Amino acid sequence: MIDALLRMRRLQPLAAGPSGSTLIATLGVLALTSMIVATTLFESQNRFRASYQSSRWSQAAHAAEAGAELALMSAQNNSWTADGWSAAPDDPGDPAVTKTFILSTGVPATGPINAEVSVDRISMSGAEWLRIRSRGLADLSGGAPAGIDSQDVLLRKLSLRVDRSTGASVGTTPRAIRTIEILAQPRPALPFKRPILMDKRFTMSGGWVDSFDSDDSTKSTAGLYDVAKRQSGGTVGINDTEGASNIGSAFIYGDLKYSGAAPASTGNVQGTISTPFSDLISPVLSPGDAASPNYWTTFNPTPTNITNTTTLTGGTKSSPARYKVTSVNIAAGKVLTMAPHAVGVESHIEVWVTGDFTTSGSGYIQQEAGVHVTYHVEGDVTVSGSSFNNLTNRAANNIMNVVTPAVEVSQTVTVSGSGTFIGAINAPGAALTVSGGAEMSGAFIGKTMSISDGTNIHFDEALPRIGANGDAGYQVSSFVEAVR
Amino acid sequence: MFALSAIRRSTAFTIAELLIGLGVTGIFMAGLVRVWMTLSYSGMNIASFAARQNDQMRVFDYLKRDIRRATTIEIYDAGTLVTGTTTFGPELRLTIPQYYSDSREEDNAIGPKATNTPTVTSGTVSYGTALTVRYFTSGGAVIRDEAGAARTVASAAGAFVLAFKKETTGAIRSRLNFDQAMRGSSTRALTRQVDVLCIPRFEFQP
Repeated sequence: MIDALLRMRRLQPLAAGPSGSTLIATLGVLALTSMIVATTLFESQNRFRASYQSSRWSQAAHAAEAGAELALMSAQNNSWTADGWSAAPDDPGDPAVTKTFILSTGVPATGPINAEVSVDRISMSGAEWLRIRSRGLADLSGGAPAGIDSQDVLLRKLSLRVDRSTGASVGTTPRAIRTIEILAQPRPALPFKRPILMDKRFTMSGGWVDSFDSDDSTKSTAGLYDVAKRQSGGTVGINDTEGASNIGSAFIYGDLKYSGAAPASTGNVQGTISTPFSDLISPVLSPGDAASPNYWTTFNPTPTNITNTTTLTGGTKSSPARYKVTSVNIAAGKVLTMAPHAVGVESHIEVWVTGDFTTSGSGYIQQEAGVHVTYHVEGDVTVSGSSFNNLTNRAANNIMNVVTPAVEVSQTVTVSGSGTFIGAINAPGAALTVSGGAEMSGAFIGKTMSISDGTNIHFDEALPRIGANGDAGYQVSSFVEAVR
Repeated sequence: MFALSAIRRSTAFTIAELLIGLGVTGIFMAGLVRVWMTLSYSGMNIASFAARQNDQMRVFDYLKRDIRRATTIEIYDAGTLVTGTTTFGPELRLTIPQYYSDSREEDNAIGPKATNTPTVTSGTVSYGTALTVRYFTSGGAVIRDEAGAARTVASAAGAFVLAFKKETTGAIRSRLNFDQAMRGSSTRALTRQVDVLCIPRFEFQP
């Protein structure tokens, strides 16, 4: 009995000591391990949330851009009501038309993604532009906790409780919302956006390139170029300099944009010189080509060619007078008169020349006031600066389209001598040569161009606005994001 | 007496036993501490790597947003403009329309949100006075500088390196890598390099 008592007294403390330490140590290790696991889980959960929110935020931007593109499609096709809009956008100042696009329908493994688009018109630069505002909305799952990093919160500005742009409650559907604003400019009916656009090399010696605006009395006088009102829109664009372009120290009152080797002698370029540059130059199709947007089905049977003094009479804008001739050759002492169909009215004439277009000596073309003339020439053009007496004083009323030949066929447009030319020449397949020191008000598009003898080119800034009423579609000219 | 001495002999430890016990316990504890420290460092490194990845994601989100809406994009190296499509430069300069009419940083959403009216000059649309936004690194941190107001958008802990290059397609290649020393190792580092291509909207405009 005494032995047992002594054993208990001595052994019990020995047994109780070690078992308590082990428990504390185990609890300590468990606590530390739990802290590590908890920290890792907290980190991974929040990093996953940040990653998820980032992807939804990006998807909201894609949705916003998709919504704007869908509105642009309706604008290009003028199919607003057919596409489900309540109406086409009305005059500037009128309420915007709206439409919601559900973009996630049929897309597996994604939450709801929508685009809310509104479109109205605003007046800018003498034309009615489309203002497209598009909100992309991507619903967020997993509740409404914000990220743990304040920089993430500042960047993404998720609408977790209220819609940040409208202030309305989002209820139980937190969202990533991105808003963009696109301004779409009505495309001009004419391709002239700058005084000179060449697909290949461009050379110039002496003279200058600048601009004026025949519609603005502060930038022109009676619609004509006035050096005292010179503008800086004389930008020259060269798609490929071919390593053989030379500005010849000519004064360019605008920018020089090019691709390829840098042009030589650019010291007098007043604007910015930049590269690369690329601008689409569309071929000019013959009116006899069914693919042409200006395909002719009827025309006046006479004259069949023009070699003597002749008068062509115009028609209305919707029914212009059309003449198809094999050639135009106005020799010295001859006059081709472009006359209106009635006194004092706007009149429209189109001339399709299947061969060459030539004036020589004192022969010239008299274009009466109010007459709009468009030439379509399939051969070569040889004229002098004084060959065109354009009494409308507007380059947009004297357009020469030189039909693009087959690749292996060379084509020339030659303008020589002094005088004043008011018009625009679109000859994508031709080698243009301008000499004689003429004053050229308008614009030129060609394959190559050589300007000599101090010829001056004055771009009429009214050209890009001609016919810019949406009939030719719209082009995006501005993109901003409302980041707040 | 006999019984008491017998009990003492059977319950006490010898010095040798104590030393062996202490040694075994020490080895066990050292192993435990080592395992725990390894786990701790591993956890911290995982957390750091996740944080740096998060920083990268944020920087790219900023870049994608700003490149997309920029009207001009230039790349610089030590103040010199980088041209061509082969050379990287460490600084990106963007011109961004000033959509809001106040002078707060664009991302500061607290306050009015009145916008500037767009205008057209020589065929170019502008909102207010365009903002210059710069991206570069300083001391390992990624900095976004908007009209002279600089803000850190990714922690210096990542020792970030930024590089930009214009692609022939017109896209901007943004390269960001971090190189953060690992905890628990003097020779190894947490590294990750990501390239992102972003085409600015103006590439689609005539």
